[in-house]
Amino acid sequence: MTTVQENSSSVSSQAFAKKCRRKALLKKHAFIWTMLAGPIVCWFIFYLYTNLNMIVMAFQTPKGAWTWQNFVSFWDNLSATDGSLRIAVWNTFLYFLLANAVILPIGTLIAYFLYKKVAGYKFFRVAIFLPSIIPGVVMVTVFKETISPVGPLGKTGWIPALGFLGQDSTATPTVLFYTFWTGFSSIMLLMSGTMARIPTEVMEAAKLDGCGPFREFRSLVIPLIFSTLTTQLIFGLTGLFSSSGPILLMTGGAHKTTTLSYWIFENVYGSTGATAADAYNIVSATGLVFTVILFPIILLVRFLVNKVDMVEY
Amino acid sequence: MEKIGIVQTKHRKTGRLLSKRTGGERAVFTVVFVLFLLYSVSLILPFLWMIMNSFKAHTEFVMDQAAGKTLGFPDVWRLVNYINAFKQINYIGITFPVMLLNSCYYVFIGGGISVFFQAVTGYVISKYKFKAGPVIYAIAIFCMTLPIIGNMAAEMKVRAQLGLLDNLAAVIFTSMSSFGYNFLMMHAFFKTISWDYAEAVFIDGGGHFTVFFRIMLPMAMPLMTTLFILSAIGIWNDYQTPMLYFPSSPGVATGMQLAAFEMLRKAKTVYYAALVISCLPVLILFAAFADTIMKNYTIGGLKG
Repeated sequence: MTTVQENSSSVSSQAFAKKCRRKALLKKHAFIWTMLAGPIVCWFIFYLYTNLNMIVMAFQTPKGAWTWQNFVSFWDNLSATDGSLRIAVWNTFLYFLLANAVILPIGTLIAYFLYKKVAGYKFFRVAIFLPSIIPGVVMVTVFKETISPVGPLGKTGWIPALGFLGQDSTATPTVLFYTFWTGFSSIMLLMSGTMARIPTEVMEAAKLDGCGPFREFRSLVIPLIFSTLTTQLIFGLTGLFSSSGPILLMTGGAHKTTTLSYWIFENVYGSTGATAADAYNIVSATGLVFTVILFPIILLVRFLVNKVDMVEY
Repeated sequence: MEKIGIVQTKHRKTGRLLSKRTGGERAVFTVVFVLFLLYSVSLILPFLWMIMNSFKAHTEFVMDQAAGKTLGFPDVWRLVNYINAFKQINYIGITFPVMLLNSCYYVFIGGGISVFFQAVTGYVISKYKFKAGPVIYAIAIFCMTLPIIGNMAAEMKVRAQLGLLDNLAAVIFTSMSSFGYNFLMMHAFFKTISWDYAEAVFIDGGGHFTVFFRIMLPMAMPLMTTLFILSAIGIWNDYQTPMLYFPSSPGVATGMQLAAFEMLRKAKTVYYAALVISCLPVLILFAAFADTIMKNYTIGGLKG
């Protein structure tokens, strides 16, 4: 009798435990999906649906009929000697070189010397970060006013009569110079944040072994921050096409200063009324072509980067 | 106590060891110091020039410009440009105070919602085991490193279809899609937090929401503050997004950009004053949180 009772009570306690577990699981999933519902729905609308729309638009006329015409127009613009897209692609390449071959290494060096506490490093850290804080419209206005023929440097005779931004030959180099001048802030912040995490014991051991600053930078710091450097390289590559930088504020794309991302912005923003829909389809086709080109490049870079042994610390 | 003293002395010694420089090193550091100083001055000086000229009357500035004397101090330091900035800056009927309010809306609603949801997604994906979790994480990494170029036109179309074009409510929805760069940082942060806190709450009869809102969210506050400040600065300075998607509600950056042509011709010094005002909120925000930002901002490698 007692065994039967024990059995039935163990069965009921098992059932109770099962019920509890199910209830707990239900509660857990209710929490997970309540929290994620908003972000997931938004991702489906603003990422997936939007990008699928872009692919479809690339193959359509504004009225919705299927066509290759957008790609033909894209190619015509790209192959014409003075085509705006051709200029945009060339300039984008220049900005890419500047960001990765010049600003990234110099920015890392700047971060290194700040990390090594060069005299006045606290002041320099804030001063160099200023371009990231101050609105672009302010930075650009200040820069344009400074190099304007009637500005504070006007009487020096260095400024051409039309201004550096007013003629084809100097406009793009000037914007490149501006990008260089203001370009170190985020790299500096990111890299000095990363370097600050390097264990001091490592640096001390190297110092005791008679390691100088250049050897220390090359053989210790670079390998230790390599994963951040490569992440930055990949984001630099992807960011290049998504932010149009200071072009609108500088020249509005005039004097052959346009870049690919600015070209896209200009065509979407500048098109109103009847021409808008037409421009939307060509922009979508252009975007699609460059996405398809960039896709394997980024995969390759990530593959190569993953092959390098990263130091974990 | 004595032990602590020894440790402290040791640390002081090692600290000195790292900062000790040989003759050659000292020369390199001196050159670097001079270069940094020149560069910093080049960044700051043009601003001082603008601030100084924002106190001049328009006619005084024009005369100085003709004489090539804009580097000189104003005859009288006039605050009137700063008052006029609020009255005269105007783009399609939108005045400077309204632009400031719009920017505040984008910063607090857009920035606030996005940082909150970045914490939510980072927390749920890193702390809960469920089948879709790793899939969502992989998709997030994939989307981040492989961007789609030129989807601006498609986004305009989608927003128009949903009635979200030039509609301020859209800020709420778009800020919710939070699987970006900051999601990774929140994810990495919550990975380091022990689950024991949650277990303790469960034993006391608390639920998952209590754990998140009462325990985890307060712990994530320093990182969330950093991310919020950085995104607030970004949103305040972003002129492109409002220009495209909210043309009737420009923020300060957009409004100043659109008003630039007319103002630079008509009342340059008033425009300079408005530029100075538009810098102030971000400068104050940064000054207040500089240390938090500098300490908390770092990223690791992208694995997977």
